[in-house]
This record gives sequence, structure tokens and C-alpha cells, in this order.
Amino acid sequence: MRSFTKDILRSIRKSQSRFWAIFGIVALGAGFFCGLNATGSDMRRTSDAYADRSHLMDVEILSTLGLTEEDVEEIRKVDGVQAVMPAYQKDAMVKLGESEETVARFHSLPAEGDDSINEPVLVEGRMPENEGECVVGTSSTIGGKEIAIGDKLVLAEEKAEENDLNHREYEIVGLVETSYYLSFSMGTSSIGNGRVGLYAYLLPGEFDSDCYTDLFLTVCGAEELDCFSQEYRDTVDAVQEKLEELSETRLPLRREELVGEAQEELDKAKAEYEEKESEVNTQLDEAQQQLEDAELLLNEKEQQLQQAEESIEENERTLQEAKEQLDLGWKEYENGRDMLESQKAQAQAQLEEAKEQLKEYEDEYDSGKMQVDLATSALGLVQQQLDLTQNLLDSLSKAAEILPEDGSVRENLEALQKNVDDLQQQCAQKQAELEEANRQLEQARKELDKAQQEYDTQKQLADEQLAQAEEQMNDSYEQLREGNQEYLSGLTQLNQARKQVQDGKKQLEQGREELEEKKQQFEEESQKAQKELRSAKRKLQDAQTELDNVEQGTWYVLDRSTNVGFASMENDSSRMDSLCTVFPVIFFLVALLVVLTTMTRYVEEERILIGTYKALGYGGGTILMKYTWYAAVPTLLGCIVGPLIGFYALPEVVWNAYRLMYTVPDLIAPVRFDLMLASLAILMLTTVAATMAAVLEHLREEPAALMMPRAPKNGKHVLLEHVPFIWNRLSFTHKVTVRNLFRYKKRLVMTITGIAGCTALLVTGFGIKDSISDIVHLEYSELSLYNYSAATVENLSAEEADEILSETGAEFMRCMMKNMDCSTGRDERSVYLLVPEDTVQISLYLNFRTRNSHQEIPFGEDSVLITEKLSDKLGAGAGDTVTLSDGTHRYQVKVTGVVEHYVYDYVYMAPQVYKEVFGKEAAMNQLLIQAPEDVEKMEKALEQSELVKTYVNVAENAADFDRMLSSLDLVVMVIILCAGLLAFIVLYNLTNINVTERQREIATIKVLGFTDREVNAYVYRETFLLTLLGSLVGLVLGVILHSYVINTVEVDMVMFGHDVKALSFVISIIITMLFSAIVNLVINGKLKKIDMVESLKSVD
Amino acid sequence: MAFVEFENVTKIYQMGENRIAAADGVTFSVEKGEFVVVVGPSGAGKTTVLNILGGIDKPTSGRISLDGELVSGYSDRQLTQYRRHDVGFVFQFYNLVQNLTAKENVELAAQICRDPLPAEKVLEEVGLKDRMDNFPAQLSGGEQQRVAIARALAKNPKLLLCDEPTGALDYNTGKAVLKLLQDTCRQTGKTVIIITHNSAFTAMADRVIRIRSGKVAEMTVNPDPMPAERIEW
Repeated sequence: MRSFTKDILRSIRKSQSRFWAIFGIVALGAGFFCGLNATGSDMRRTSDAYADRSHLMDVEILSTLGLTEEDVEEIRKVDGVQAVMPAYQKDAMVKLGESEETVARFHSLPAEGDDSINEPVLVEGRMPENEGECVVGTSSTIGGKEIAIGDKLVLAEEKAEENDLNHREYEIVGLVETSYYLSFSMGTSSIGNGRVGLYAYLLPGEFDSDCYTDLFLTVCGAEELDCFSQEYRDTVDAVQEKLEELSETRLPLRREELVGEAQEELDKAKAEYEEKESEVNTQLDEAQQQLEDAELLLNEKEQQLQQAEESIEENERTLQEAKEQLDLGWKEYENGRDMLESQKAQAQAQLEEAKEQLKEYEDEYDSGKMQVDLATSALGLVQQQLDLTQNLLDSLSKAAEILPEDGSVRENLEALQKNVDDLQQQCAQKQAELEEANRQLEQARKELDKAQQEYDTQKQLADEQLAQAEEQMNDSYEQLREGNQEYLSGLTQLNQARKQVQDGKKQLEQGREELEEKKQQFEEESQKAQKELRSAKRKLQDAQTELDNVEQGTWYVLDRSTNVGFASMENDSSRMDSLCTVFPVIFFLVALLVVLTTMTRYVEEERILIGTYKALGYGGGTILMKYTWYAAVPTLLGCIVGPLIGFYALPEVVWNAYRLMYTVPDLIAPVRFDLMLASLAILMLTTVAATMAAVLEHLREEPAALMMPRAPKNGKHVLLEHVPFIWNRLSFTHKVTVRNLFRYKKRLVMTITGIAGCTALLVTGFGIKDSISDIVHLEYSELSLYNYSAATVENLSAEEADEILSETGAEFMRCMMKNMDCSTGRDERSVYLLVPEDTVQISLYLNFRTRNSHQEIPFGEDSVLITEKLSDKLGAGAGDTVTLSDGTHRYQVKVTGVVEHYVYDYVYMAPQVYKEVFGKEAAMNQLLIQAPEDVEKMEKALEQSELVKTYVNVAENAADFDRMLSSLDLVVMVIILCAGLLAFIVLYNLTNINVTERQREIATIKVLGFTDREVNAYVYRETFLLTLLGSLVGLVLGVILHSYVINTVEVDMVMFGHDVKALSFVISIIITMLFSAIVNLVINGKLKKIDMVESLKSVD
Repeated sequence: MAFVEFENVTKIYQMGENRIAAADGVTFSVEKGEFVVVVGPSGAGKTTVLNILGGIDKPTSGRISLDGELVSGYSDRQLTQYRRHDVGFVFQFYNLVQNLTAKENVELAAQICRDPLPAEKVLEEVGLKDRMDNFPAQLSGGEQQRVAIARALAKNPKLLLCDEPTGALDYNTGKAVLKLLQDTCRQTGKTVIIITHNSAFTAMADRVIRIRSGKVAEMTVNPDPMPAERIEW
């Protein structure tokens, strides 16, 4: 046997590359299996140890009624309770210097001694010793500002309420860590933005409260147990049940105490209310009476007015009558006047006629007179002539006496005498005529005078009559005028009366109006009073109901599963567990394949040796042992070395990644012999089985047959040859390659499997990177279109928003953001409820779309959109109903759509829906901002505004997020590294086998004159094709694996991208090819070494 | 100058402490178109001579030339080209690529040559017209060796080297293969060198070179070689 053992050792020494290949792949598989499997439990172990060390509570009791000293004593008596520590807790808004406000949770420091629970571990500084001092968690920041010792936490100015803290300012004297706050996420609060930003410990005396808010306790025997185990859960559950039982007896007592006082106060308030109510009612009644009196008075006045109006009407009527009579009188007078006038005219006409006659007479007389005068003048003339002639005659007669008597002068004197005679005659005649005319004239004169006389009497008569009539007329006129005057004065009086009535009416109207006003006022005031009374009453009723409800009271008996840190640690570690089920499987599978092919090949190589041993008389078992040992030794070594590295390296890498999100101590990573044994068992069993199968196949043959060379594998036509279209186009060497590929089917399957595994891992690795980097890119550049957001005071009005930003040139929109719980029957998640002021404008700030098709999702007046992860977790899509809860009230909301979103969960609700569901307008407290070019100016505006509490630059947010997720980069690097190792081992091994198997063929083609390059290509083309095929299969596997991994490693508040980028596929293939090329380089040397002389030897 | 010249060629293997001279000053020459048989007992060094002549092994010292070219001074690269274009090799165990059909095996050699003969024609000449598309496993030993000869011929080499071409064949088949080689030599005027331990083959050679203990013991020219059919062993 000694030389047989020697043979084994020498075989190993001679074929070291084969040996180490088996060792390597086994170590890789086992290391991965053990390392990854240990990670989850190492995380839990470390957390558990941390919890035990710091005496983390097993159970926490919160009571809606507060907890008293008696409660504590009773709880202490409960079976299974080890230590009880009552404590205070208080949430408050704090700030650090000029920083923004953050929600801080203040705890009372645990008491010294046995009952000390949730001990904070001092990291820096000292614990509080005096009033006004505090210690805070190391992970605390306020608005990105690190907290340092010596800083002062300033509580926000708010009106002091009950159960408040004694100081408004606390000096930080130390930094602590506590297992109570394992994760950076510290839970939710009912104040501020609803997210606890830091925790602090104070001396218990700082809490001004008459009862404890919290009660922490530990359970007997729980510390020894793994707090993530079922056993622990059972132990704690038992105590929890007992405590809940206890609450049934303790609560009524506490209630009585509380309710008794409250009821008394309430009753007092009720009595006060009743008193006030009756008082108000009396006042109201009085006012009512006054109003009624006033109205009565007004009515009386109105009646009087009506009477006056009536008398006026009567007077008016009489006056009217008088007027009518007067008018009649006037008419008569008018008629009389007319008559008189016509009589006058008549008389005048008659007189005129008489005058006319008189005139005629006068004319007649005048013409007679004229004739007389004429005749007189004619007589005068004649007389004159006569005188003249007489004179002449006398003169002549004298002249003739003196003058000789001449017959002529006589004659002339005679003619003259004659003339004078004629003239004397004529004159006499004329004289007579004149006398006649005078007489006639005298007669006419007489007649005229008579007519004149007649006319005068006539005229006198007429005048007399007329004057009389005139007088009468004047009398009646005078009467009428008097009547008229009387009428007019009557009219004036009437008008005066009327005016008085009008005035009276107006006053009445005013009186009425005043009354109406008073009445309305009264109505309003009475309503107001009533309303006040009602609301007071309702408050009283509410208080009563509240008091009545208090009757039940609740103890929240919570265990560690509700502690945010522990719960998420449990989630994360179990996520690691599930992740660990896939990866090791790949490595295991590949390890197995590699070992199987290697050993099969090895056994085949040693065929003749086996035959020789057999011929020499060695038993089958002994021969089997040789190969079994050969496989077992590297497997055993691999299963020791691999896990030893794996146990340390992998959990450490993962833990360090998680430490970016947790405040946890160093990892406790023990060597897990159970896992080591398990991997050893599995790998040993499979490798040995594979080896034995290979050996047994040969052992069955006769020694003689074994010593003969094994018939070479027959060539065969492949299916592709029947497709002349493709086959005929292939070059000769490619045809050979194709044939060869199908000739060694086992190798084909193995290479493809191995390479596919490698590519799949690479795709997964790069895919995770894609998924993560995608988030930040998608979330902050494609989905959130705003680049700043600011938290403002509650109920920010549009004017106030304008006031803050209008001068900066920024575009902005108000919205309401509120932390709430969203649930369906399946799950409950903490979400942000976002209600924009406008359903149209919101599309400028947020991009609502589906993830796959990037289809826009409308946001209208009835829209309620939820984010994709929320939808997944709650199992609710469009059309389903979810419940929103703010801790006290629950609201049912119907979802209208699901939108692509990555960071945190949101419910987007139209303001109209909000109003309908919550029964009030959304109180705006957030601004979404599109920054203008002058960012600094805007930031300054935001900083200076008192309305703005804090603002966030989205780009900074994105950077923060990037940092947080970069922890996963490490995991990706590990995956890529492992994939590389895997590819290398698989390819090296299989190509190696390929070359050894075909050494003779290769030697032959070398003799035929193939150059090194051609030989290499001849062999490598196959590997290349297989690698390519494997890669393609790997891409598909990779997508599946990636999707699985993403689903398992996904951080709770983030939805990872689910797509692998095309570039990642390309890179994965390229890297796989690169590994393959490296392997080729190594193999190339081996090919060169193949001796052509081999080809001449007989087949062995 | 002869077509093939071996001048004081030695090949020494270092086996641990011992130096073994497989060829110990081999000197001979062959004329163009001759059918040469190199004969000697096992371990005499005849395969070493063949390897060195075929360019798959290098001599420790000495001078070899083919058709006026000094082969002994060739680099690895030049040797590859030499194997590729100048020499056709026929192996004792045929060394056909199992995964290729008869025709493809011939093409495998032909496609890397400068001036190959058509594969079909060569196969027809060796009498395998109907078996062209068969895989080696479907052919008898003689047929396989014919394929191997066809593969060597298709390269249209200056020299055809055959290492125990009948070694794995039965008597009749062996004879047929020998006839094929002789006919090829006669008809195409190719220089054919056969290496064998079987002295019976000497009768059909134009030139016989006997090797013993790494040296040429005797070189005779046969003025009247026998046709292959008539030799017996």
C-alpha cells in the first residue's frame, strides 16, 4: 500500500494545476456559501450582543393615561419581569444656534443600578450631571450640521404646555450611542415634519410631569437568548401577555384617578356653561322686549299719520269744490264782461253813426260857410274894383274939369262911369247873393246845432248806461278776486299739512329701518351667542366623550420588533439571508461542474493505469480510493481555507456598508463550524460522488480492455450541416469549430454554465450599480423638476409666498406636505402626503409618469396618486382604496394612479380631494421652487424670511443620497471580483481539459504546418464561441438574478431602479471576454509546449 | 547537389545524467523523384531522422538541406512554413481529425497551402471517391491511411514522409497502401521517403538507407525496384 499512497501523493504533485483548480473552485464556493450565509446571522449576533451589553429593553410600555408609581410596582410583581425602569420622553422642536429646526426626542437618563435599561454608551465628553445639560446621539445632525460638545440645543419658542421640560436650553456635554437607536432613522413624531432628527438624554428631573410616559422592562432569561430567535419571542410574548392582562386591572384604577379629576372640572365647566347660558338668554329676551316696544310705538305713529292723511284728503276735496265754484264765477264774470263789451261797442257804433251824421251836417255847414266866404271875398274884390274905379273916375273927373274937355276923356270917363255902374250893379247882386247864402248858412247852423244837441243827449244816455254796467262788473270782479284769494290760502294750508304728513312718514320709515337694523343686530348677536353656546356645549360634550372614552385607556405593550433600529436591522439581515441563497448556489453549482469535469478527465487519462492496477491485482475499492482521495484532499482544503476567508471578509464588507446607516459596534464574526461542515459535506459528497461515478465506469471494464486505447470519440454530422444556407457560408475552420463544439457536449454545457454564471454575476453587479445610480438620476432630474424646496410656517398664504420669493425671480408653488401612515389590509407604511395648491401647475414641478412606458399620468381635481413602491407594498393600484391615518383619525381615499418614484413613499392628492376627505382646506406649508439664475439671491431670501423654516437644495439631497447608496458599491465590487474569479477558474479548467484531451489532434495540425497563431485560433475559437454563448445565456440569467437581488436588497424607503442599462450588458460581456482572453494567453503557452513528436506516438 | 542532403546530423537527448544520441552523425542524400526506404530496428534512430527531416524536431548539430534550402538553420517560424509547404507527413496511426470527414481532413491540410491540389481529385486518386463524406470512424484502417496520404499529397509537397505507413494495417491493406505510395512517386515524380522496420520494403525502393545505432550503416541504390504488389513479408 505504501507505493500506492506514494502514487497518490506523486499524482498530486505532478498535476498541481489540476489540484489547485479543484481547491480554488471549492474554496470559492465554500467561502461564498459560508461567508454570505454567516453575514445575516453575524449582523443579528452583533446587534444582540450590543443590546445585551446596554441592557436594551425587551418590552416597552406606553400608556395613553400615563403610568404611575403604583403601576410600576404592580408591573414589577409580574412573573418573568426582571427589571423595570420608568422613564420620561418628550418630543420638541430644537435648533442649534441659527440652524433650522429639527424634531428632537428627549429621554430621561436611566437610573443607576439593577433597573438600568437602555443604557446609552458614552462616546465622547461626559454624562449630564447638572440641570440644563444633555447628551445627544452621535448620529445626530441638525440640518446637516454636525453636533459638537459645548453646543446648545435651544427649544423652539412655543407656549409652555403641560408635561414640559424645565429648561428652554440644554448644553451638550457628551455624545452617546445606544442600542435603542440602532439605525439613523429614529422613528416618527407627531410634531414638526414628523421625523425625529435627533435624540437626547436628560436628567429625569428635567421632565415636569406627574406621571411617567414610558416604562421599559427586561424579561428574565431573555438576555441569554438571541433576540431574533423564536425562543426569545416566545419568552417575551409570555410576559407581554401578562402585562396586557395587568393593564386590564391597572387601567380602570388609573382612569378613575384621572377621570375623577377631569370629571369634576368638566362638571364645573358644565355648570358655568349653564349659568352663562341662562344669562345670555335673559339678555336676549330683554333685548327682544325692547325691540317689540319700539315697534309698537312706531305702529301708533303710523296710525296717526294715516288719520292726518285722511283729513288732508277731505280738505283737499272741499278746496277742490270751492275751486270749481270759483272757476264757475270767473266764467260768469268773463261772460258778463264780454256782454258789456259788446253793448259798449254797440253804443259806440250808434254814437259813431250819430257823429257821422253830425259831421255831415257840419260839412254841409262848412261848405255853406265857405261859399259865403267866397262870395264875401268876391264881393270884396268887386267892391275893391269899384272903389278903385270910383277913385279913378273921381280923379279923372277932377283931371277933366282941369284938363280941357276932351271928348275921349269924357268918353273914358263915361266908360268908366258905366263900369262903375256895372260894378255897382254887380256888387249889389253879389251883395244880395251873399245875403242869401248867409241866410242859408244860418239855417244849416241851426240844423247842425240841433243835431249836435241830439247827439249829445244820445251820448250821455249811452255813457250813463255803460258806466252803470261797468260798475256792476267791477263789483263782481272784486268778489271773485276775494274768492280766489281765499282758495289760494286754503291750498297753501293744505300743502303745509301734506308736507307735515310726509315728514311724519319719513320719520316713521327711519324709525322702522332703525328697528329693522336693531332686529338684525339682535338676530346676529343672538345667533353668535347661540353659536358660542353651542360650541361651548360641544366642547363640553367632546370633553365628556373623551372622558368617557378614556374609560378604556390602553397600554401599548411593545417589544423590540417595534423599535425602528431593531426592526430594520432584522429586515436587513433577513434580506442578506435571502440574498445568500442565490449567490452560493451559483458558486456551488460551478464548483461542482468543475470538479466533475476535472476528475472525469483525470480518470480517463489514467485509464491504462487503472487497467494496470487491476491487472496487478488491486481491488476496485483500492483503486477507487486513489481517485477519491485525489478529489477529497483539495475539496477538504478548499472547504477549510475558503470559509475562513469568507467568514471574515464577506460579513465585514457588508457590515461596513450597513454602518453607513446604523450606529453599531464592530462586527462579531465567529467561525461558523456548522456552515463550514455543511459546505464541506455538500461539496465533499458531490465531488466524491462525481469522482466515484467516473472511476466506476472504468472499473467495470476488463483490465485488458482498459489497457487498450479508448476508441476516440466519433465525429458526427451536426444539425447545422442540414442548413446549407448557413453551413455553406461558414469557412472551413468555422465548420470544424462547430463540429467540435457539438462533439464535446459535456464541455459545452459546463463552459456555458460557468460563463453564464460569471456573466450573470457581472450583469447583477453592474445592474445593482445601475439601479442605484439610476435612482438619484431619475429621482432628482427626471421626476422632481423643482430644484429647491422650502418648509414654511403652516397655512402659508399666496401673498406670503409672493412676499418671500417674488423678487428673486424664482418660480414656485405652494403645497402641503404631511407625514402620515398609509395602509391597506396588507401593510402599513409611513408616507408623505403632498397636496399641491394647483393641479395644473404641479406638472411643472413633478413629473407623473409610469416607469415602463414613461406615459404621463394625468393629475386632475379628483386625483390621488401613489408612488410605485407604496403601491407594490400595499398591493393597491388605481381604483383601490387606501387608508390614511395621522395617528388619531383615519381617512379612506381612492387611488387614481400609480407613478414612478424612487425615494420615500408619497401620496399626491388634489386639493379638492383633500378638502372633501379631510373636511378642511389643505394648510400649505411647503414651497416647491424652480430656482432662478441668481441662486444666491434666492437662498438669501429664503434664509432671511421668517416664514421659511428650512430649505433644501435638491442637488445636495441627491449628493447625500449618492453617498448613502455608495455603500452598495462595495458589494458590487465584491460581486464583480467573484465573477472574475469564477470565470477564470471555469475557463482555465475547461480549456485546459480541452487542450489535454486533444493534444494529439493539436500536434497533428502542428505537423501539418499550422502556425502557432492558427493552432491557437483552432482551439480558442471554440472557447470563444462557448464564452459568447455562455455570456448570452448569462445575460438572461443576469436579468433574473438582478431582479431578485434588487428585490431583496432594496432599502425600505427607496425603490431601486429595476432596469439594467444596455451598457452594463455590454460591459459584462466584454469583461467575460476579457477573462476568457486572459485564460487564452495562459493556455497559449501550454499549446506552444505541445510536442509534435506526440503525434507519432501510438494512442495511449 | 542532391535533392535531400543530411550531413553529419546528430540529435542528443539529455536524460538526466545520461546523454543519449538518437542520431549520431547521420549522413545521406536523396535525389529528386526517388522512392526511398529508411530501414532499421526499433530505437536505431530512424524516427529521429524522419522528425528532423520533417521539421518537427531540430538536430543538435549537422546540416540538412532540401532542394537547395538549408533547413537546419531554420527558425521555428520558418520550420512551420517548411512543414506547411514543403513536407507531407503520413503517420503510423493516420492521425486523422476524428471530427472531420475524409474530404475535410484533406481540406484541413490543403487550405493552409500555397498551391494545393483539389481535395476531391486527390481522394479520387487514392480510390476514396465514394467515401469522401465519411468520418474516420466509418472508414477501415487502410482507408484511413489513404485519407492520410491524400491529406499529405493535397498539400503538393516537395517531399512525402511516411512513418511506418503500414504499421497499423493488415498485410493486404498494407500492400495496397505501399502500392499507392509507389504509384504516387512514379506518376507524380514526388520524392517519397518511407520509414519502416520492415526490410521487405527495401525491394521496392530506388534507394535504401539502413540505419543502426544512430548512424547510417549502409546506403544502396536499387537499380531495379520491384513493384509493390510483388513484395512479400
